[in-house]
Amino acid sequence: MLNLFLHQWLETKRSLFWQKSVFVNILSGIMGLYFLINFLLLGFYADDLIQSVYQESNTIRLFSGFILFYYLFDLFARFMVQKNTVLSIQPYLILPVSKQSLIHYPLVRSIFSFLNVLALCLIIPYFVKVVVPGTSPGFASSWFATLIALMFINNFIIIAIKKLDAINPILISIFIVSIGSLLYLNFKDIFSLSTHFSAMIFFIAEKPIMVVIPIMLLAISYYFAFSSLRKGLYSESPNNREAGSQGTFSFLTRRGQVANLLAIELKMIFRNKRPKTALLYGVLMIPYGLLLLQNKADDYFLILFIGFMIISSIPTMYAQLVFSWESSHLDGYLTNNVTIVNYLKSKYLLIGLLTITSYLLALPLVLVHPELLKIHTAMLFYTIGVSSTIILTLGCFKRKPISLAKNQMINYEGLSIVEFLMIFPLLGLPSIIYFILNAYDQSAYAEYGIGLVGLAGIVFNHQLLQAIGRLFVKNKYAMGQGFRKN
Amino acid sequence: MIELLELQKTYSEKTVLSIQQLTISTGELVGLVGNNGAGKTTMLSLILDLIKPTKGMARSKQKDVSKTDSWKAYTGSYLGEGFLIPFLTPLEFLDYVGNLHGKNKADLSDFLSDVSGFFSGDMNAKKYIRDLSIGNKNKIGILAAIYASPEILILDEPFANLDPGSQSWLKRKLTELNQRGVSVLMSSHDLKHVTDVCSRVLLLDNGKIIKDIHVSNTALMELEAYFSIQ
Repeated sequence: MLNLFLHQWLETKRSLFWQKSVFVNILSGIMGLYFLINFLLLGFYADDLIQSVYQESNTIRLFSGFILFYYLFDLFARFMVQKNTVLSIQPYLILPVSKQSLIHYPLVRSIFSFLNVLALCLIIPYFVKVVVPGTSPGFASSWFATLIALMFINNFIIIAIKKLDAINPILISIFIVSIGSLLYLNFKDIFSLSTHFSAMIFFIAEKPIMVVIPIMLLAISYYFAFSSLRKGLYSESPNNREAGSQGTFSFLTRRGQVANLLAIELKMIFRNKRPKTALLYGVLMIPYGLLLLQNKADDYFLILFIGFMIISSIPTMYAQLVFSWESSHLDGYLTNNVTIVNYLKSKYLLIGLLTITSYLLALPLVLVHPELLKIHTAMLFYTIGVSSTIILTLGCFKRKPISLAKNQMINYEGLSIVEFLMIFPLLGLPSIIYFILNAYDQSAYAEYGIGLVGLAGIVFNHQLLQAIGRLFVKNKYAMGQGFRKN
Repeated sequence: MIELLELQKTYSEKTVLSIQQLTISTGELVGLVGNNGAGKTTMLSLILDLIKPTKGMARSKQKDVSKTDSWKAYTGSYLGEGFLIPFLTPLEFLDYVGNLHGKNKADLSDFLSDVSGFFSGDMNAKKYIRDLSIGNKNKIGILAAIYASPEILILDEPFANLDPGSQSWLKRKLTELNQRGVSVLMSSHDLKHVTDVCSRVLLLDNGKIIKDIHVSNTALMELEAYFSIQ
């Protein structure tokens, strides 16, 4: 087992990842640290916070109740973010390492994951500051043990769930909706789940012998995770699904090069995890936009911004990786009977299709806020005409391959500083239009200005694509070289 | 057909390929041999405009390959997995390539029955290319290159990972295509195959062509002497 830890450490240390994406590493390091500090402070000042809101001197009961919400959030966050530790297991299967320890290893290792540390940052300061001095040692220790056990139960349950094949967006939606309605009932004081939860924790903590219950649950969840990992131990992939049945787009295949390439890319989206999840996150931005509108419905500039976000998040989430989607087979594209301009045209068409999709998906929002119609239409033109050009132009500077089989969430693979900078021109141009018009007190016409610029982009798309094609040809050697380092 | 003029590729001071002048005429079947790292794949990649020459140029039908797309219409090539689209089934992939060369469904089924001795479409129809074995991936790549009805075929180690029956099928196929006027340029480590099939063998050593042999009875011995095979 120690050897396995050592090898994982070496794998991480010698990974190309560190050499390749320094910028992304620093950024995620800062983010991680920021969260840790926030949670530490939150844990430390939790009692003051609760006191000031609820005027209650004994905060432990309330804190225990709030922990339930944290666990629900934690469960969701783990589901989206947590990655099962994968040690490339194949080389070990033929070595004299016991199979058991190959399964125990990733489980033990998961104990040290970031989200667990985060939860500890929340619980330990409160435990030390409030629970230890305020209660008996028996109560304090079983209180602590219960919370920690529950946290690790989350950890192991998610490992087991992530091993299941049958995770689909519908299940996720049901989960989110049921949690949402529970929270709603809770805060409307119709059914206070958190009270029941803290009562349960107190029940355990007051009779320390009861601490065996969470510990037994923990053992069961560990066994659950263990057995699900054991099923997946053998390297042959459980690939019994029939290939080729999903999305054939045969109506596109005999309509010229561009349609042919578009069909291939649509198949790519339907048959791989990463493009599918990228689109899913784009779709989630639409209800988020609605949420933002509820609060800020009077600031015109903000409404413009939200309109931009709603219309362009699906195409941008997907298209920011432009040519990286072909990173595993760009050589084929470059040597086949395909002209560069047609390749770009198929990309352009896809961005257009995605933009129209978001426009249609956002129509219900327009029914609620009719004033959005003009803004959305302007953003539709802008995204198709201008954003697509910016994305394709900057895409020529991509050098990093991606793997299509991975999840999009917290996945920095293939991302470079290009994607972070992309947002400036995308968002900058409409802002400039707004501020110029605003300077002449004509800001109400900003949507027309943005729409016109977009229309101009659509009218001149052929010339623009020709120019991007020349840029692509100049960059294709470096791009191909980068992509081949898969 | 193919012409290399003062072609040079340098990676940070190290020259991996340097060819003064080389012409491959229409209808030749040329084998490229050499040790690992001799520059075989580099040479083929330069001809396919996948990497940028440090100096000189590769020309196909008198046109610089980096300046035009016209060679793509008559060139079939397979240098490795990067030429395959992993999330397609083999048949979808062949259909896609055929489409780019103006072929229809009927052409595809004709082609499949023609190559049934090499690759059985039915057996692998229900799998994506990414789930196939290396040997089967190679077969798909080679078939796609042939299916494009090329005037010149460029293959990198086509015999690698193939079973013996498929190797001999491929040898026959390449000879047959060549007799119909298709030029072939392929690299290989198998000297026997190369001398069996090719009419001309180029021996690369540290990026330079040190032998340009027209295959005769002594060719195999000459090559074996270079590779010190006892």
